[in-house]
Amino acid sequence: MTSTDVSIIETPPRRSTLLIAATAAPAILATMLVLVFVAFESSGTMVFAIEPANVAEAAGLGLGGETLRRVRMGEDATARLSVRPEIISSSVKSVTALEAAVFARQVELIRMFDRHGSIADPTLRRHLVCLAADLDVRDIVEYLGAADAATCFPGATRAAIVQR
Amino acid sequence: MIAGEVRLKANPAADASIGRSEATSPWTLAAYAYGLFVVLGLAYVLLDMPIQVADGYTNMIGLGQRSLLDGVYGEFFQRSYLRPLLWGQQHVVYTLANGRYFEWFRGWHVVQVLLLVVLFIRLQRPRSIVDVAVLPLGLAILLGMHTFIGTVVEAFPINTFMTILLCTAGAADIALGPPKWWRDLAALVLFVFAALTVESGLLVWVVFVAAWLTGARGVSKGAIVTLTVLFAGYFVLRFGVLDVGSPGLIERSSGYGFRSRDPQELIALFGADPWRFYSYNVVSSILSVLWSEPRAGVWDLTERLVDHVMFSRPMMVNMVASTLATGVLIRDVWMRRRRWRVRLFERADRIVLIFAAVLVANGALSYGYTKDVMMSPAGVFYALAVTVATRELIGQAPRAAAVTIVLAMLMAAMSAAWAVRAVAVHVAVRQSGMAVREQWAYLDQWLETQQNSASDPAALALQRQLQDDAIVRHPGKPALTGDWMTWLEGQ
Repeated sequence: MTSTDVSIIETPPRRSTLLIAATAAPAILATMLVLVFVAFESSGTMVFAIEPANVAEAAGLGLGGETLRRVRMGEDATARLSVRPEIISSSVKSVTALEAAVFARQVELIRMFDRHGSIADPTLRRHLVCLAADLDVRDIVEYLGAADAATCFPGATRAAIVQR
Repeated sequence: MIAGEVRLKANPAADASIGRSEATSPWTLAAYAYGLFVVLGLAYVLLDMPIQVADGYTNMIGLGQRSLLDGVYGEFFQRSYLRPLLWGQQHVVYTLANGRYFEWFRGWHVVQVLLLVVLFIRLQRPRSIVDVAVLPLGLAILLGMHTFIGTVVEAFPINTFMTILLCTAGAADIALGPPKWWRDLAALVLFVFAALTVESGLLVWVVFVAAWLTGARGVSKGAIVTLTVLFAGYFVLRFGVLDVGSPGLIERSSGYGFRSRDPQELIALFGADPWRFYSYNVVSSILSVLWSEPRAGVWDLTERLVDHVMFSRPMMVNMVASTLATGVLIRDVWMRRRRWRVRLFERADRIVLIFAAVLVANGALSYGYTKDVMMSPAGVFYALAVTVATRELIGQAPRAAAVTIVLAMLMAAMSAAWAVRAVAVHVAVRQSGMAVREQWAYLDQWLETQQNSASDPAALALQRQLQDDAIVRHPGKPALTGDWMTWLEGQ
């Protein structure tokens, strides 16, 4: 017998409401949660997410794309800005985006700022080297100039930032 | 068969009408409405992902330098890979985009997902409350399979694997429908298109032949013969005429045992006896679909068991999800075995058997190296087969209260585990979008490491535009935080 000479007459399947609900509910709930999340975010309400409020927060979170966007929109990487305690640490409340990038240990961000000419001032450069040395971020120290780090007073730059 | 009694009667004309009513019902509409919700959720994160730098921007540079015909013709003469229509598809979208690359390429990715979900629902033919009740689980498996993630977290700038998912699911839809002359034509066109897009496109032939062998007559015998000639012709063209060859051991890293091995290690291990490595890859790929272990040839979960190391939460979720789903599938195969012995097949049987054929063939195609996404066609048919098997289980469940309660708990655990995996895919796409933006932010540094700085004015203009798209015009969403992420990251 082959499939070409038979047909099947089905009887309706038995239905267990409990089984149907148990199978469908978790997956449907997950889809609904995703859609609720999308609805919240689309309306501007961020849930389960930290949205940087300024370029310093973006750099402090190590977000290269968002940092670059804010720089292109005209935000000043050298301006001291307030950062929330959860961005870097509860003791760091006011930093520049450049300092925040060092706190975030992001040498790529420092390179990007450098390419944009934000670290042209030698005094600023030395300030960042000293901060990187205080935080023991060796790749940033090397990139900005290890020679300058030798002239830093250990811990002083970080302490000054914390005291702001 | 969904459930209940099967009665046989002689009916020579019944060939294509075996199965369930074609008529739509309110449940059908409910199924498509739910599918749309699923697509909306995924579309949100897909449209947040910029065109990537590596394999995205770098591939697009070439698209602007050759005409469609020149490019497609030139791709016939590449070494190791025969994928001329992949280049052709990218060129068509690139040309249609006319500068609006983000919108067209990212939009096309969303359209692909929409088409896949529509095909999935069409293949399930939801007509009753039970059909619709298992659909959310089916779609969660479709999206939550680890083989699926690679089809959405990246694009080159079109995701080739997703294209093949559409081709194989489309082939099943054509094959399982009623006989029509246009289905023969569509089958031939689909096969040529898929086979010349990427090697896994050959699975389209497997789908058509498996469907035909199980009694599906959407495509005629003549078309099946022609497809088989074309299938053989592909190998003659590739190895005899064009001498394209195939990738060797030295092409890429691949998992073996408890870790990934680089090409040099693979040559040292298997250089004299590559068939042992190829066999390992085939078996690993097949097991990966059924149990989510090994992953890309690496037995991570097993290693943790051996070393008494704690599983990560996603590992536990994967294990529960795959064990329950494959368990339901094995039960279903066992229940169907008597009908199969007398070659009695209807639509649900065919879906399960097409899955089996695609699983083996997909595994065989992955002989060279293992990678989750390479098994994505088998992953789609796994989702279809498990959905069919779950529907059957619900329909045949004994009425005893205790059994129903235990089954309900197992179904809820399976559905919840796959739901977590499906949500994890959204998180993975979002994180991939963030990673791509970082690539664009640090583009100069990346190009330096690749020693690949563009000097051509058109390439530079494209680079600037895509960077602006990624950074300024379509800024990313913020990173997700919270302990709950430990359930979702690293799926």
